[in-house]
Amino acid sequence: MSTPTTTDRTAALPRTTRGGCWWGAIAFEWTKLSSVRSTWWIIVAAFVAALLGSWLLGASALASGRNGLDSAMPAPAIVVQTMLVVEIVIVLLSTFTITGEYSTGSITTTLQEVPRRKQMLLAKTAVVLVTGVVLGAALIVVGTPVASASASQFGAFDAVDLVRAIVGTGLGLGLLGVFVLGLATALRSASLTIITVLGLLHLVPNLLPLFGVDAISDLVQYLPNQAMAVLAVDTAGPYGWPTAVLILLGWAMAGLLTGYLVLRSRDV
Amino acid sequence: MITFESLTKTYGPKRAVDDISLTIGTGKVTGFLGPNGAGKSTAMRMLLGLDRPTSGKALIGGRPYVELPHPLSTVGALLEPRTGHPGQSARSHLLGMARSNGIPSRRVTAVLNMVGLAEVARSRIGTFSLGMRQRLGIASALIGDPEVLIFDEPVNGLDPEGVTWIRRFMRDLAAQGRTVFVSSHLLSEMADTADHLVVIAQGRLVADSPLHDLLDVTRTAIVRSPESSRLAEVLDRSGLSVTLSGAQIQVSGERIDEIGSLAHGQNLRIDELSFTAASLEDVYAQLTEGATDHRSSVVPVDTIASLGAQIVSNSSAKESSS
Repeated sequence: MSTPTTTDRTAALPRTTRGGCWWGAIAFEWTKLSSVRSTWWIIVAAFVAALLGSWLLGASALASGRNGLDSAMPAPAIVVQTMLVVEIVIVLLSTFTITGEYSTGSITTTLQEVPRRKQMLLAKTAVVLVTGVVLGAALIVVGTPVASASASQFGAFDAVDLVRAIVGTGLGLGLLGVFVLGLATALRSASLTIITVLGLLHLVPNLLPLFGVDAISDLVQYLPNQAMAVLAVDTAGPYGWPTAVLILLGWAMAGLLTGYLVLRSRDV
Repeated sequence: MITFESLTKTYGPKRAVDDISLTIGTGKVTGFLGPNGAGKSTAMRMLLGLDRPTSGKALIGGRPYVELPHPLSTVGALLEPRTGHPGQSARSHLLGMARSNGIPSRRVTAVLNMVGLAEVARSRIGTFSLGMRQRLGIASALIGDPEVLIFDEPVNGLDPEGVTWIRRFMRDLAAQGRTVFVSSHLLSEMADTADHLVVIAQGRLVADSPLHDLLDVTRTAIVRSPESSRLAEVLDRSGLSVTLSGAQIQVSGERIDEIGSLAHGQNLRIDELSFTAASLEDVYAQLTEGATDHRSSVVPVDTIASLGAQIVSNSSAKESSS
């Protein structure tokens, strides 16, 4: 192939202005996430699922409405309903951000570049959070016209409905992603993380009422999905949107802290 | 410069790295030798802050790896051929590395050219052969133009051409004044490349010495002289180890090449002076077998222990005198 041609020793390499440290660590994480093909497949799948779901739920609202049922719902809220399924996308993205590193062994490279583990985890957190917020907001923006078209007059909405759905879904997916990232960091296994998170999101809400104790049943409303619904749809919920934000923040912080405490002292 | 200070790592009762202290100097290739499972990789991983020492320290330029502000510009490491995410292209992998440490992106093109991967820069790492991955690993190590380079078994799985290429590359890097620290479980790989050898077995340091010293220590001379007892005395005073049997003396030690002149200086006649050199392979086998399995060891354990102690003390005596 080639002959060994190393460069002459030059004085230290010039550094880019925003080089290293926080910007570097975040840019590095973004480069990894965005340059892997599976990321884009997952995002395309999210849009397909959200658009299809919005259209179906919209059509259902229209059909029910025409049959005299009270099925009218603001179009953005119809799109929010599809998030019960579409949120799996941010769960996957967030999980793979860290478990992909362990399964491919690239975690050793990552920690050589960003050896401070707190910084590494927070850089990933920043990327996951922003990805979740942008993705959530974009899904509502794109899904609303589709839901509106298929639900016709039964999907009428105003600006408040739309803004609430955009901000709520964005924050919801972003913070859910952070929670999952922390959990995945602690568990290191993709399958274990995904099963745990799906269990929490979909199984636990159905299991808790089985105890037949009100105190336990009430816990359901503090789960991520329920808080996300309160945040994204402007209806009378068990609590207001500020509480919903706090609940989601709490889940995110708890996940992240768990991940950090395990990561801090663990051998790679 | 790399320093280990009483570096120790235990996994339960197993002492993977056992109280290793050494200094690895600049401008030379230091081979880190030991059988598989001797603790080489563990030591290197602790050096890079990936694994936490049970006790002791592993420092680069006097600081732990995690405290380096721009680690890639200080240390480049090739740990295993699985560099990067298989779904990423070689270029985006290196670009990510560069961004993480504020290295300008033109350096990516430079290192790709250096290792001969420019043509496949946009292919995914998953499609690379082992040799190409190894080259990419070296490109990754060089991205920050670091002073210290750490390679863990770099020639594993490479074809002969690749092996030659890596050897010349390491020699070039050391010639530029960098610290090159390379592990291997095969001595033959190191014999042509390394200036200095550090040998560990079962987590313990058994030798730390320049390559030629390691050979000298095991060279023995047979001297036949009519005045053997007086000659033995002279040689003994000069710090050589001497075994006298009749007219014949068996000599070993650092100043083995001076036997002739020492005898001449005292006007002692020599009838025969012959040298036998153990091959480096033998030395290595003795050093490591002894520590690997005491029962099956051909050489008595105390011999190995003293050989190891001798080699370690030789080099430390030299370092303190220089």
